[in-house]
Amino acid sequence: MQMHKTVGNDVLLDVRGLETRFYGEDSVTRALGGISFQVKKGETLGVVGESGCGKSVTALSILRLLPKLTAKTVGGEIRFHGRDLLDLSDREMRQIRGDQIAMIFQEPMTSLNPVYTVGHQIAEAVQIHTKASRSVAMEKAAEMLRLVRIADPERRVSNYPHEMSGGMRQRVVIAMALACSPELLIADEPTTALDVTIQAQILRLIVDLKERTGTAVMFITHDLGVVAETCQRVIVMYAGRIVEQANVIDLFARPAHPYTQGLMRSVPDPRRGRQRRLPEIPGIVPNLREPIVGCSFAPRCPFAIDMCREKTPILRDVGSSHAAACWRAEEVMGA
Amino acid sequence: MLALAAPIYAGDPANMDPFKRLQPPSAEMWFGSDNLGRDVFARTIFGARISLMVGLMSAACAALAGALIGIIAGYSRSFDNVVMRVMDGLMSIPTILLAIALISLTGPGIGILVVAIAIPETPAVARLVRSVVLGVRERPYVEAAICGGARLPKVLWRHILPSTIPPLMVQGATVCASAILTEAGLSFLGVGVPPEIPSWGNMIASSRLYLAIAPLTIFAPGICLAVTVLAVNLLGDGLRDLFDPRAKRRR
Amino acid sequence: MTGYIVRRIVSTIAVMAMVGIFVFLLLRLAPGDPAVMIAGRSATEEVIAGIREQLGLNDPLPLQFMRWVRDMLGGDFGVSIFSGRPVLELISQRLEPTLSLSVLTMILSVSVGVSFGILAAWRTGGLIDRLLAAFSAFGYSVPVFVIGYFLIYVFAIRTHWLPVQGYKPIEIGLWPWFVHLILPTVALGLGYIAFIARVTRASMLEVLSEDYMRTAAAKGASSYAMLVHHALKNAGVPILTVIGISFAYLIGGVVLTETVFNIPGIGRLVVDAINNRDYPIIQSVLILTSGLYVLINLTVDLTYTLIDPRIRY
Repeated sequence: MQMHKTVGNDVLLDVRGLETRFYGEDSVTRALGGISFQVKKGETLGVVGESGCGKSVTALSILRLLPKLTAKTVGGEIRFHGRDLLDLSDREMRQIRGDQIAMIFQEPMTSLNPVYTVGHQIAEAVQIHTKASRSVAMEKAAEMLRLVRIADPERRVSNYPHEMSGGMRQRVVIAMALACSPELLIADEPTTALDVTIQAQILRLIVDLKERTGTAVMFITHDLGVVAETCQRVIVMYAGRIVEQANVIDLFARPAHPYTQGLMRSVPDPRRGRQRRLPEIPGIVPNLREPIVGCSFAPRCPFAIDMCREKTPILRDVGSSHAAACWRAEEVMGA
Repeated sequence: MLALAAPIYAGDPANMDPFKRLQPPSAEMWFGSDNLGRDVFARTIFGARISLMVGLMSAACAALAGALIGIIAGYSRSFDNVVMRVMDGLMSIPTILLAIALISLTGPGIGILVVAIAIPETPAVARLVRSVVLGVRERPYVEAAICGGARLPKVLWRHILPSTIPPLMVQGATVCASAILTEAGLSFLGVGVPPEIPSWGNMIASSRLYLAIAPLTIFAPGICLAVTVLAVNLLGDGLRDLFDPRAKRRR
Repeated sequence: MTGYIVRRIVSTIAVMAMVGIFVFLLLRLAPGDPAVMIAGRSATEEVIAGIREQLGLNDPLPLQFMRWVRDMLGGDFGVSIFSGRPVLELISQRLEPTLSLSVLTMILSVSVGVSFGILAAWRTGGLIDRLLAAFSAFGYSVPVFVIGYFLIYVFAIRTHWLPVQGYKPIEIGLWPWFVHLILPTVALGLGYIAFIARVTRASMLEVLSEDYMRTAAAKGASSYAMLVHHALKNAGVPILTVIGISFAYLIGGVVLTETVFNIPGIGRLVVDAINNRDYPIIQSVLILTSGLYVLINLTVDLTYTLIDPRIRY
């Protein structure tokens, strides 16, 4: 076990050794294999990785929104303001959800309830956490719609989700999440399902609102470009573990894990011209239903040596506030 | 527990009759006589034969007629419009009332009873088969067969009929359960099986005045009726799980 | 919207026309001459011929049909062969008990069935869910008259808590009326509760896995708000559809229940009519119930727009 550093006052969320499993008919999937990270007040933390690497599971574990029958967080701590969220009762947890920690989901088309107006749905979030009357909550809803730059908010509050475009709906979801001024906003791929132009708008909106409200943001994405634009610090996840953790400049300047390098190479770079085929990371993501011996990335890794296949690397410092879980991090950084 | 029992029936529905005969221990208690001094146990056993026979025959008739109508309706647009409206009309009349109306034409009798029970059940079967046919005829292999110059009856027989069989069998079990219930209901009302033939429904009807004195004269056939319908329903569930494993997992 | 309503009404009329032709032919196909039936077996040829002329039985069938439909639209449903009184009058006399029983059953079944279904869906595989599975297997399999006699035996004959059978009109007093209806309502309702609960459960399960339910949870909504506000309204359309369709099933049960509990309603009227071969009564009840069924389902279809803003016709 690595020693926990003393938690400073600026740490908002402190996740330690979080372990979540999914239970199938006759299999257990170790979706999170004990991950530790911190989110500081007001910072934007990027969480990057391929689909299935455990990014969303991390988010859902923090909010305790995993499907009850099939998933369970079996170990670790999630300290928020020093209190372990895993120890809270359901009622206490509900008071935190939407009020102190809010979440934006990937699918704007389906994450709003089709039978209620958007104003009603934003107002509901307000009413759950404050004693506001219906009319006050509806005013707040209109105000939130203005904040997320929806034109004519007084009229739009009485629209139903199906009367809005995908980008508009995502703005509504953001408005709903920010309605109670949360201290932490978890954004799970908020732009993935949108058109490219809308993506940029929504991204700018989130960055902008973050600046204005001082909310800390945990930004989950598979898109390194988005990370570069929005985040201060980044964690890279692979197969349910954190493989690299760094501030954004260090990460892009000197990636210390071969997986991070692979991800960066597969981002299109206009300067390199169009003709070249994008390199992809060879091989497939390991099956988390079976125990993994050694480094989970070893089978796909160009740097892998015998040791990688035998001993699981732990996250270790490779620079100031730069850590990687790779036996050969120094060689990787030099390559 | 109930789900465990299903495979036992799912193997062979014909086993259901012996299944009920194989209950002599509890049958000991059932010995008693009705208002005319007849052996309730014996009558219950005989009632089983009538109820099952009428139920199975009605289900078979409804399945056959429904399949025929459904297949043709699924294939011919003009026929579809007319016939499915007729089916809608039939569905809008409560089963028992429709059966009563049909029986009132001729008076009680086993033959008319089967027909009267089968007719109200037919529309549901026809609808089901029609929807299956509509789905199948768009499939590439059917279109290929038609393009290849196969004659219509052959296409229906070779390519379309087979895919209607599994849903038809599941539906058949449901129809059979429902038919047994309708038969009992009609006999109970005195318009089903003629009173001289013992059936669970008319046994209950003839014993109703003696409920306070001899409750078993009502409950023995009543319980048999319920167990039989339950068995047929479970058979249907078993068949559905067999043909559609996805539904099983979701339950 | 109006276009849809018009289309829907046209198809309703088409269905009713089919039912009309069917029921009309039923009477004509009936063995024996209606005129003979009215006049009685011993009547002379002249009397019978007179009745034939009077009823217009000598006219061609289509003409007779048109006349029959016209009369019905004018509220004339014919005259009972047995009692000689207008059918509509006989039916309206029997309406109150049947309506009381149906409405009470509906209230009981929908409230209990929907709550039961919601609870089962809330904790799939839990105790309530398994209870529902057993209960619905039971509810589907035990006929209403067996349940009825069982209830009478336990709650009336054995314990004397409730009246054995019979009906007290509502003007005698709300309490006697209600007490007499408890057992019939429960007997008729059990199967119906099972049915509605099963559909509610299935529909709720589908909705509960939707993304917006997770959004609601992320807002901090309580379980109650999630189930009732967010899920039930979305699950409502299939539930309503099924309630509409199963109306025909309810009426069938009413006929049996009225016989078990000796309730002088429309069900008894029909059963007596069969024994008397009183075709006009059977015909009219068929037409009226099927008309009511079609009307209820039309209403259900139009109610969808109130539940789900996405549905626009």
